[in-house]
Amino acid sequence: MSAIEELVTELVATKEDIPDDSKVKELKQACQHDKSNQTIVLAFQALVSRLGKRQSRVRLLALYAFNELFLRSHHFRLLATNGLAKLFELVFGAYRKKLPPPAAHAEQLQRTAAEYYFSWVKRFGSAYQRLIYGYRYLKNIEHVDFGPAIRAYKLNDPQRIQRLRQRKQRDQQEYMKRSLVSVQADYLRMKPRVEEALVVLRRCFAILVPEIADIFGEKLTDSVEDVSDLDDVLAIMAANRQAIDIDIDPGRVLETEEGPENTAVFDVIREYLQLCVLMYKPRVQLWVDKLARIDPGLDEKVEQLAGSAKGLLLQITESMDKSRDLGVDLEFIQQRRQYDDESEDEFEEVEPIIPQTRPKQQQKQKPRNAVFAMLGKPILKQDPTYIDPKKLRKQHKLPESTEKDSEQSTQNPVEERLRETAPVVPFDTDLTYWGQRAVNANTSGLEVRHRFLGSARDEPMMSEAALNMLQKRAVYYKQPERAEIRACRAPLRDGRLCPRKDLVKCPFHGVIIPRDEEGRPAAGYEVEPEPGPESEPVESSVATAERIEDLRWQDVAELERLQQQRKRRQPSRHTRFQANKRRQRKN
Amino acid sequence: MAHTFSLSAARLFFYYVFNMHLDGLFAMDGSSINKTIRKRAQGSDLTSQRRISHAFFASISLSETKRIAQAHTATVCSLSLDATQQRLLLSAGADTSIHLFDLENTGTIESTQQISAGSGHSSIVSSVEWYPVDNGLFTSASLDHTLRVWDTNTMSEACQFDLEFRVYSHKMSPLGAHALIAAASESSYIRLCDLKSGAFTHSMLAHQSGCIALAWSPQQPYMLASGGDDGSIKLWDIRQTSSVLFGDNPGTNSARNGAISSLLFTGDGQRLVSIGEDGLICTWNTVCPQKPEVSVNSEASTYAKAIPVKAIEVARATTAATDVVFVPGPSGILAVDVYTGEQLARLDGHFAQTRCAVWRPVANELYTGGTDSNIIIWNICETLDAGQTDLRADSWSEADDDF
Repeated sequence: MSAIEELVTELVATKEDIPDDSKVKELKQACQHDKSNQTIVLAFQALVSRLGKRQSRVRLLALYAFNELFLRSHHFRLLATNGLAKLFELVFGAYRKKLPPPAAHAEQLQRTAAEYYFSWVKRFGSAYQRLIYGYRYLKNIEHVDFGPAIRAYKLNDPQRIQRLRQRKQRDQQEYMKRSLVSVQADYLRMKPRVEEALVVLRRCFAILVPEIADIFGEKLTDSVEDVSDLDDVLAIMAANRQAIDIDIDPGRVLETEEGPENTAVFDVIREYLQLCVLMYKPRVQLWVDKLARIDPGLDEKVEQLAGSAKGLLLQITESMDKSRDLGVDLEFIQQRRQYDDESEDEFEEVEPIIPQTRPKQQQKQKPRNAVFAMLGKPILKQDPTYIDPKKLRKQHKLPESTEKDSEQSTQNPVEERLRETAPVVPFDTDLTYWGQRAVNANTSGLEVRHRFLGSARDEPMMSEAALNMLQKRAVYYKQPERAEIRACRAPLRDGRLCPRKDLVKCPFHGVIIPRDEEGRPAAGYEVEPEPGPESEPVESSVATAERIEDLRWQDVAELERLQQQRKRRQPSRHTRFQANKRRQRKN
Repeated sequence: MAHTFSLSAARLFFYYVFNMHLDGLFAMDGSSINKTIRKRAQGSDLTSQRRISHAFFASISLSETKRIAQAHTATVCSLSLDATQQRLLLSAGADTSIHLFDLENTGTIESTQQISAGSGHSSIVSSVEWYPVDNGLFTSASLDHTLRVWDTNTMSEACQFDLEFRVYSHKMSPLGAHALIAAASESSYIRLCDLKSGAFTHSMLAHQSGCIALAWSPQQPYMLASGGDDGSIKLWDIRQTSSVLFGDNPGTNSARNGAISSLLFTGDGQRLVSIGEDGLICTWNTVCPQKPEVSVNSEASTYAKAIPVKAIEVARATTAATDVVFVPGPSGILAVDVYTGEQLARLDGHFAQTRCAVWRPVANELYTGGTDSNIIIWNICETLDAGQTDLRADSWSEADDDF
């Protein structure tokens, strides 16, 4: 057995589902280094024989190695494409052949084969037409499912990945360009304002806190200019300890506190500081952030801009620190930001309009009922829980009750007012249980005695829920009286009577009138015919007609005068036509 | 006298050149005798020419530069190349569609027009053929019992003949002298349909169990050959009343079983080639067809297994020296010399049985179609372009180099 045979045997002898990487590499190297194609031929034959084994797992392993060599060697590809039919038989189960067990591996074999074959077709199809013909055969006649293979290929397609990467890069470039342009525009717009604010602040600080040079004069500069040689300076500084005297003139302590003279300056500082803190600082910070995200290689302006923006930011922070040192309240300014949104100033103070109450009309005081003060009031009719006692008495045909009005004055005013609104109802169980909290539930009165346990439990009391229910009164609402709707009962052509039940008027037979069984109207009623178009014009004193001619005026002369007036105002048809033409010609 | 002289001379020559033992008489008429004598005078030339032709056809291989785009989704039953320009190819498939290809296109040849599946025939289209005179018309026959005539420009049906039996193949005379379409169906009659009138002219009681193959003579407008399901071959003159000129039944002359799949006349109309289902390829002399001159055994085919059409279409390439037929077979296409019976090449490219072949002399290309739904182009000596040569190189990656 040749070396290649041995190698291939070893390759497929593994217990795993994928062959050993090193063995595959060995095989590839052996095929690569032999220029005479002999090894490839041997390898091909060996692999095909393994693909013919009666075990799908072995076939799968052999297929893996087959694919590796196929992708690399032209001669191998030639050999493979000349024996594609055999390959299909072994790997796809084409030509009505079955793939050997195990079944799971057989399925895997088919899927992997479809994937590999599709990738071969995509990559080498234009150079090896047989692959394409084989693909069509597999798809149309053998109905091999290339769906998952196509999807897998699309996902891993190197061209597609490259395309996506390029697109991403392009998008990034675009974004950066646009960002840079916007920052530039903003910067150009805002820079003068920011610088103006900073200049103003600096001047204010200068007013309040003069420069060190101004205080100490020229002493400092002189001492520096004396030493010219750096080495000497260093030697001096390293060797000796220098004693530095600082003279602070208490008289020249700087007025950093806000006083009546400084208020104006401080106001200005506050104003411009507010601008800086609320508007400029965040804006400049935004520029710095945006510029940080842009690739400096894009444009040389990026670095410049970033530098200037950072410088501005630094200056603003310095000004803020200085103002804090001077005693300007920064928090207040920052807090004010919140209130800005509410904009209290939008609301004006408006005087409340208090509606003037008219004095109540002094009504005739009716004698109040001692029991029910609301007796007789019209609002009671809407209350479904109230029944008029007069009606009730009429229903039950009871004698009139005698009410004494004198009792009213002796009662409590509170009670009086309560009685006004209290409803009057006939006595019922709810009133017997009204206000009771502990009611015996044992209504039979029997004492339950147990042999051993003694007498029954404590007297069972009614539950609160039950009591609540007892204290309620059921009120039954009356059904509204429904008027009976009569049928039209006009005689129809087929002998029946019209069954329509309209409220007032049947659309076919007019107003519904009482009729007998035959459909003839009862005595006293007549079927009115429908009113047709009016034959005579309406005679009325009000001029409601559309045309003058429709009015029957008593004054005929007046009518004629009006007609003549109208004729004069309106030119004849012919003149109207001519006038139109003239107008058109002008246009 | 002159008759016997020419006969013996011909036989002698035959032995000398073809090196075969043949019984049989072949009588030729006057004009062709002169031709043959002139030909035989240049005997050595003929041999060398033939050898060149053989070499030429033996070098045919699958084309790597030209390809026909996928059109059919089932067996390609029939191909037809138009006679006038040899530019348009019609293909008919078992998926009931007919596609038209313009072969002048570069790259992948797409189907320019088609009668899509289901819109024309309702069953397998067994054969399609161009109108021999021009390419404004073509005809197709199908197992849905109809023979339809189509207008190429609009791709719409112009006429329909209802034959009441499944039609296996149909042919029109290439000479264009008449517009009769001969239809071979499973009935025992061969029916002639007239294009000009749209009616049937006459029927000929041909083969008992149905006729499969048909061929019109390229020299004589009224000579028709038919091959039947039972293996019998008949030569007809359609003008005469009892029109059978010759009938050969299986068992009489050659051990033949199975149907006749295809019949083909050679370019000069002198020979008739019959291909049988059992793989026997016989060459008959039309003038005196007592016995087949040449018999070649090739593989038995199993045509009817895929679709119930036994007819196959054979391509013929005519050169000065010889005629070569390309016979579709179960394992590739066999290129056979008609006169000698030599198998010149076996073209293996299809993944299932091949059913039809067409030769395109203009470009020396062969188009074949088969059960694998492919139409494959075969040609001779082509050059690959740069992209293809790149792909055809080894591509060992660097990762394979290091241990």
